[in-house]
Amino acid sequence: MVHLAPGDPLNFITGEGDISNEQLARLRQEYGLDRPLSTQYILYMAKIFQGDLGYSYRYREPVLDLIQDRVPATFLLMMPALVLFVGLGILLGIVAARRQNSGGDLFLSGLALLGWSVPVFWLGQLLIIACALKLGWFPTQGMLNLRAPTQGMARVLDVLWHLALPATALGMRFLALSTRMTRSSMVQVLRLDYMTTARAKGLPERVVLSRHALPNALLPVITIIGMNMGTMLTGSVLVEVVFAWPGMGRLLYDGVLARDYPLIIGIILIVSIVVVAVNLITDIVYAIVDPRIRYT
Amino acid sequence: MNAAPPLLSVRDLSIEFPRPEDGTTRAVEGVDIEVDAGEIVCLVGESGCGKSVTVRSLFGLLPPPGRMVGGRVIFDGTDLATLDPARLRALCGASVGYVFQDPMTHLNPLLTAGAQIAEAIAGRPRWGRDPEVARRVEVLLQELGIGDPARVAQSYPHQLSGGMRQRVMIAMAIARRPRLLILDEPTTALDVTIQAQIIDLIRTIQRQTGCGLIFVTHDFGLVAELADRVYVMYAGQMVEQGRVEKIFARPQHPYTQGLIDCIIPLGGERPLLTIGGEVPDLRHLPAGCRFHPRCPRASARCRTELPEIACGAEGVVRCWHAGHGGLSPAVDVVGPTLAQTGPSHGRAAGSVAVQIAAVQKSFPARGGAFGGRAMVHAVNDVSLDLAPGEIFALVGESGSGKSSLGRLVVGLEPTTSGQIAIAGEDPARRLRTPGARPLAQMVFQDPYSSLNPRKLIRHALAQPLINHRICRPAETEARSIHLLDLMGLTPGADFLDRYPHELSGGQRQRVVLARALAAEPLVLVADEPVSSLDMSTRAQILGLLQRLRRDMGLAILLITHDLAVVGKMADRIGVMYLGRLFEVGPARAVIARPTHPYTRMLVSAVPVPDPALARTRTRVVMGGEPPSPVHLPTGCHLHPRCGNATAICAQVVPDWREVGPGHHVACHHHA
Repeated sequence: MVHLAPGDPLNFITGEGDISNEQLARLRQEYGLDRPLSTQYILYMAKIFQGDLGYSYRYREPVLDLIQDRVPATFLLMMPALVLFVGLGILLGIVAARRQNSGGDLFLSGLALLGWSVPVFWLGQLLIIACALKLGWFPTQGMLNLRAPTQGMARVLDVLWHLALPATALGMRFLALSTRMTRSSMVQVLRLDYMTTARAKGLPERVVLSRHALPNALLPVITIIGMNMGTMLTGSVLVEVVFAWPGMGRLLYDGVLARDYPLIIGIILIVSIVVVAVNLITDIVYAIVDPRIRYT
Repeated sequence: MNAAPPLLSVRDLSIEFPRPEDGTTRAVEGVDIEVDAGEIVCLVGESGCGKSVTVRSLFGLLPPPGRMVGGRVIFDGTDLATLDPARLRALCGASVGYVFQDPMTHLNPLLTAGAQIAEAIAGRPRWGRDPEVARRVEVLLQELGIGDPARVAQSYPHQLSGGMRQRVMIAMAIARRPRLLILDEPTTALDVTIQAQIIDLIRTIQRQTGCGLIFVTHDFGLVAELADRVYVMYAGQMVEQGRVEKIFARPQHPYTQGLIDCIIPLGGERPLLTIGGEVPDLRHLPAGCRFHPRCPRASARCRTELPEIACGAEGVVRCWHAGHGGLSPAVDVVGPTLAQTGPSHGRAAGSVAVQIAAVQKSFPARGGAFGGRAMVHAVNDVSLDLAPGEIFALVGESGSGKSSLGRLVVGLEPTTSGQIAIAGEDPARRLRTPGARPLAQMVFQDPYSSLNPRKLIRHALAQPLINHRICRPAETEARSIHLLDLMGLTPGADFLDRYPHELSGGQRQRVVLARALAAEPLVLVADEPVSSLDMSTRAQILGLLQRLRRDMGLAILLITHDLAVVGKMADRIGVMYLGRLFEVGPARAVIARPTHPYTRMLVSAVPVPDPALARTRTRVVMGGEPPSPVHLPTGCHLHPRCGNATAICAQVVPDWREVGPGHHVACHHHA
C-alpha cells in the first residue's frame, strides 16, 4: 500500500541536483527497487524473521536501531497519558455516576464528549498557543531545553516540563473515554442486586462503592482502553509532529515524507505487534480480575 | 396482644416512585406491620403488590428513585426517622439480616463466598486473610448444614449451585445474629427439594436465635408451612391480616380466599383454580376498592368507595363485603368437561406418538476442550412411549437431565446412542430437512428471554409459518390471529403489532405457545413453562395446555420440578435423577403411592396448604444435592444420598419392577 503513494524514494535520496538516468538506474539496482514488488516482499519477509528490518534509505541506518532510539520518547509520552489521565477519568466517572443526572454529571458528560470529539492535533496547537505562546508557562516544542543542558534531577524536571503539553493533548481523548465508560458502567453496576446486598450488610457507602461497585464497573473499561491503544498510537504520531517530540510517530511522519519504505513498514510492523500484544495483555488482565472467565 | 412493645412496628408507610415521564407512582400506601421477637410474619400477594418495596424501604434499601413519603418505622424502640443514613446503615448491618430472591444476582461475582460472608461478620471489608474470621465463616457455613465449608468459602458464586448460593446469602444475613431477619422470596428461584431444605433451615435458625422474621412470598403453600401471622397485600395496600390458623380457616377478604383456593394441592380431585385478571398497573388504579375488577362480590359501592382497613370481629380486613363463605374470586381454569378427558383414548388404539428407545446423551464437560476427556452424562438409557394426546411429566431436581431429554425429543441435538421416533420418524432429521414441518416444538421456561425483544409479535408468529410453509404468505396474518385467539389472547389482532416488553409474563408465554404451535407439531415439549410465572397466571397457562391437548390431540412432554402441578396436569409421570428414570407410572398412582425413595422425597417436599398439618407431618429428607453428572455414582445413582442404600445398591443398576398397573420402579429395595 505504501508503494501506491506517488513519489519515488530516489528523488529524496538524490536531492535536488542534476542526475543522469544511468546513475538513477544504478542506484535503483543498488537499493533493489528494480525488482518486482512481489520479490521485494518475499526478500523483506525472509529478513524479518532474522530480526532484520532493513536499512532506512534516508538515514542510512538499520531501521531497528532507529526505532529503538525513538521508542523511549514515545513511551514517555504515552505513559502519563495512560496512567494519569485514565486514572483521572475513572475518578471523574465515579463522581458523575454517583450524582447521576445532576448538573455535575451533565457537565462532566458534556466535557467528556467534547474531549472525545476534539481532534488531537488541533487541541495540541490550541495548547501551544494558549499555554506556551500567550502564557509562556510551557515550552512549545521538543523534549529537552537545548540552550541550557541540564543534568540529574534538573534534567528529569526539564523533560517533565516539556512533556506536560503533549501528554495533555494525547491524554485528553483517554480522559474523556474513561470518564464516559466508567460513568455508564458504574451507573449500571450501581443498579445491580448485589449492591443492595452489600448495603444490607451495613457496609458504609464508601466501601460499597470501592469494593463492590468499582471492580465490577472497571471490567468493561479495561477492555475499551485496551482496544483503543491503537488509537493512542495514531494520536501520538500527530502529537509528536505538532510538538516536535522526538518519538516514533515523528520518525514515521518523516519516513512517509521521504518515501522511506523500509522505515515506514518497520514502524507499522512494530506498532501492530504492540497493539496485538496490548490486546492480549488486556484479555489476560481480564481473566485475572474476573473469576468467571478463568479457565478451569 | 402482649404487653411488650413489638420488635418492629410500621405505621402508615407510603412509598412513591417519582418518574419524570409519566408522573409519580404510589407503590405502597398506608401499610401497617408489626413483628414481635420470635415471630414469623408472612407478607403475601402476587407480584406487583408492593411487598418487596415495603420490606426494602424499612432500612433505607429502596432502589432509586423510590422514596418513603410517609409513615413511621420503630425498630427495637428506635424511631428510624431520627437516624442519619450512615447510622441507619450501621444499624441495619448489625441487627437486621436480609435475604433476597435470586442468590445469583445478589452475590458479587468477583468476590469469593467466604470474603462476602467475612464482610458481613465484620461489618467492614477484610482485605487480609484473618484466620480467625476465616474460621468463623466456616463455622457459620457448617451451622447451615454445608458439608465442606472450606471449599464453599473459597468458591466464587458462579461455581456454586442455587441452593448453596442461597445458603451463602443466609449465612451473610445471620452472620451478626440479627434481631430481625427479612426474607424476600428466598426460595422462588430454587427447586422444590432445595426449597424444602431452605424452609427447614429457616425454621431452625428462627427457633435457635429467637429472632423476628418477615417472610415475603407469593406462595400461600409456604405461608402454611412457616407463618405465625399473615399480612396480605394487594396493589400497594394491606387488605387483610391475622393469625395463620384463622386466615386459612376463615379468610375474610375475597383476595385472601382466592389466593388460598389457588394453591395447587398435591393429589385430590380439586380442579386447577385461578383468579381472573391481573394486578392493576399502579399508574392506572381502578376507582373504589382496588380489587373490585377481579372480585365476584363487587357491588356498586366497591366501584366508587375505597374501604378502610378495619378491625372487626373476624379480624383486620379491608373490604365492604368481608366474611368467610362469600363468593371466591377463584375460578376453574378449564371447565368441568376436561375432567372427563381420559388420558388414554389414543393408547387403547395402540398408536404411539413418541417412542424413546434406550437413549443416551453425553457431551464434553466445560473446560474439557484442552485435552480433557471428561464427559457429562446427561441422559442414560431412557426408554419411554408417549401416546397421542397424552401429557407425560418428567420430574426431578435441576441437573437430572430432564431438559436434555426434551431437547433430544424436539431434535435440537442428536442422540449419542439409542433412537427417538415421532410417528415413526426421526425428529432431528426432519428438523434438518428444509421446508419440512417439524415433528415437535419446544416452549421454554423464561418467556422474557425466549422472544426477541426487537421483533413484533407479528414477526415472531410469521416466521414458523413461512419457514415451514404452513400456509401461503397471504394467509399469514389471518393464521397468526387465529393462533393468538386460540391461546386466549383475544382479540388476536390487537396483539400482532406489539413488542414483547408490552406484554405481561403470562401473555408472553401464550405468544411463545402460539409460536410453537404455529408449525403444527405432533408433540409439544414444555420445559418448566410456568415456573417463572405468578401463581394465578400459572394456573391459567396450565389450563391452556390441557385444553390444547384435548382440542388438538397434542402429546405434551411436560418438564417440571413441581409435583403439585404434575398431579393436576399429567396422565403419567417419569421421575428422573442423573439422567436415569427411577419411577414411571400413572400420575395419580405415583403421587398417592410414591414407591422409589427419591419419589417419596420429592412428594414430601411439596408444601402442604394446611398450617396444622404442615407443622406436624414428618418429611422425608434427603441431604445434599445431586452429584455432578460427570462422575456418575456406580450402581443405583441414588445410593450416596439414599437412606435405604445397602451394598448391592453401590454395585448393581436396579432392574424395573411392576408395582401396579403401568407403574414401574427401579429400586433394589422394593419387592
